[in-house]
Amino acid sequence: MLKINVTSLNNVSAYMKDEIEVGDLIERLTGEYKPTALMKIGESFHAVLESPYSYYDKAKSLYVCGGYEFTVSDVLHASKVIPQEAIYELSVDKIYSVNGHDILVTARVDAIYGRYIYENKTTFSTFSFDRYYDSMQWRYYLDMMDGERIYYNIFCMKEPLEDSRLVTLRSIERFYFKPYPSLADDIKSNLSDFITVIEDIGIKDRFECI
Amino acid sequence: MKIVKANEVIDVSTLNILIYGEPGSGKTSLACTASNPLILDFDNGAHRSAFRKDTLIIDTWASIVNEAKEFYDIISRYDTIVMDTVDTCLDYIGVYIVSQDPKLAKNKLQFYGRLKDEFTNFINRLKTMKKDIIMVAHVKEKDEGDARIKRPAITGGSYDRVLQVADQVGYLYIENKNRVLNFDPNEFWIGKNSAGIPQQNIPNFVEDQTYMDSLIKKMRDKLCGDVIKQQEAIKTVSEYQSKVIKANSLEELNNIIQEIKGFSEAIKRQIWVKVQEAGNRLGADFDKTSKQFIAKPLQNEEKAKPDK
Repeated sequence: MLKINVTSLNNVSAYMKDEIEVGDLIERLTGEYKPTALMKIGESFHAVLESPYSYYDKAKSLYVCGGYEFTVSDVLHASKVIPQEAIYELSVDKIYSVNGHDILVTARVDAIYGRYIYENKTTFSTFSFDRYYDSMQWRYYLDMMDGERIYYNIFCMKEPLEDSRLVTLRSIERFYFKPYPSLADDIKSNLSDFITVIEDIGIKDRFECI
Repeated sequence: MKIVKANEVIDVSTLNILIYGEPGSGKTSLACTASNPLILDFDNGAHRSAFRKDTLIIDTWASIVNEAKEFYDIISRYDTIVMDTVDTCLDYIGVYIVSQDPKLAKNKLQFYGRLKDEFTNFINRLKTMKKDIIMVAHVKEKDEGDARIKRPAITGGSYDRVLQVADQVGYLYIENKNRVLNFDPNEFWIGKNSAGIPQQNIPNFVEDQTYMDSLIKKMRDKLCGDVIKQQEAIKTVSEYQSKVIKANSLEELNNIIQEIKGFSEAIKRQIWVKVQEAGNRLGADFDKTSKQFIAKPLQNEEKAKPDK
C-alpha cells in the first residue's frame, strides 16, 4: 500500500498544471517540511484562534504566540467565523484503489461541525479565490469526510513592520465549496497522476507502507 | 441588527448566479425568464436578446452613485436584477473610483481593493433588498498545463471576487442546436454548484418563459435542504456525544459503535472523538479486528496479588 497526505497530492496537481517544476515537486514530496517565516506566523495565529485563553498576555493586552503578537479585536473578529462547538484538528484518512494500487490518503482538517468542514488559512499576499478553487484539498476533504460543505476562512494579514512583532488582520474572505458529480473522478485522476509521477521519478519506495 | 453566529444556520433568501457563455448562446434571454427581472444593461447589448424584459441602460457608474435614490427606487420594483455584463459593470466601477481618487491609477493593489469594496457593497445592497442577482459574462479560455479551460471573461483581480460572491457559476453552451447549462466544475470549464443542480437542457424560451424562475426556486429549495441536513447532523452529533459521555459500561459503548456504523464519515468522526475518551475512562483498549472496546488485561502485579 502507498501512503500520501493531501498536501503532497495538491503539489502533484500543481505540477501537472505546470505551476511548479519537477525539482520543486521532488523537494516537496520528499524533503522535510520547513515552514517559512510567514507560515510560522500563520501557525501562531491558528493556535491562538483554537485556544485564545492559552495565549493571552495580560500585561500587553495582546495575544502572544510563537513570538508574534495579535490584537484582541483581530482575534475576536476572526473567532466569529469559526463555530466554537466544532471539533478541531481532526486526523482523517481513506484508502483509495487506483490502477491496481491501494493508496492510504491522510489529512488533518482544521475544524468540523455537523457536516460542514472549516479550513482556516492565512495569507500575506492579495487574496485569490482561484488559488483555493483550483486546489485538490477541498475535493479530498469533502470526499474523505462525506462533507456537505467546506468553508474556507482566509485571514488576510499584514506583515509586521521590521522592528515589531505585531501582526494585524487586513480582512477575512469567506466562501464554501460543495461536492459535485465528477469529484470522485477528479480525485482518481489526481491519484493516478501521483502514481505515474513517483514511478517516473523513481521515488515510489518512499511512499510504500505496510 | 442581528448577528448570525458561525454555528447558526443562515437563511437562504437570495441567490447570486453567474452565467457565462459564447456570444449568442442566450445568456440574457435565459436571465429574462427569471421572476420579474430588470436588466442592468452595461454593454448596451440587451436589445440583441429576443426575450428582452425591462432594461436600464447604464453607461457610467457615476450615474448610479449620483442618482442613487432613484436607482434603488427602480430596483425595489423588481425581483431579479440582471447585471449584463458583470465585466463591463466592473470596468465602469474602475473608471469611477479612479475619477474620485486618481492616485489609484498608479497603485494596482489599492485599486483592486477599492474596486472589490465598491462591488461588494453594491451586491450586498441588492441582497439586503432581497433581490436575486444574475451576473452575465462572456467566456474566455485559459491555458492550464496541456489543457485549455473555459472561464468567465472577467478581467484582473475582480475575477476572484465575482466567483467568490456567486452561489452558482454556470457555463451556457450550444450542443447539437440545444442550449445546455452546466454548473459543475470539470476539466473543460469553471463551475460552482452550491445547490447541486444537474446539467440543464434549456427549453425554448417561447414555450417556457419562467424557466429561470423555476430553476432559482429549485436552487433555493436545495440550499435550504442542505441547511436542514446540517441542522440534523449537528443534532445527531450532539445526541450521540451525550450518550457516549453517559455510557457506563463497555457494552453500552460498543452498542453505540454499532449504531453509528452507517453514519457519514463527518458525523462518525466527531462522535468518535468522544468514544475514544470514554474508552480511556472505562479503562478499555480498542480492538481493531473486532472493532470493539475490550477491557485492558490486568497488570502482572495485580495478577500476582494473593487472594485475601
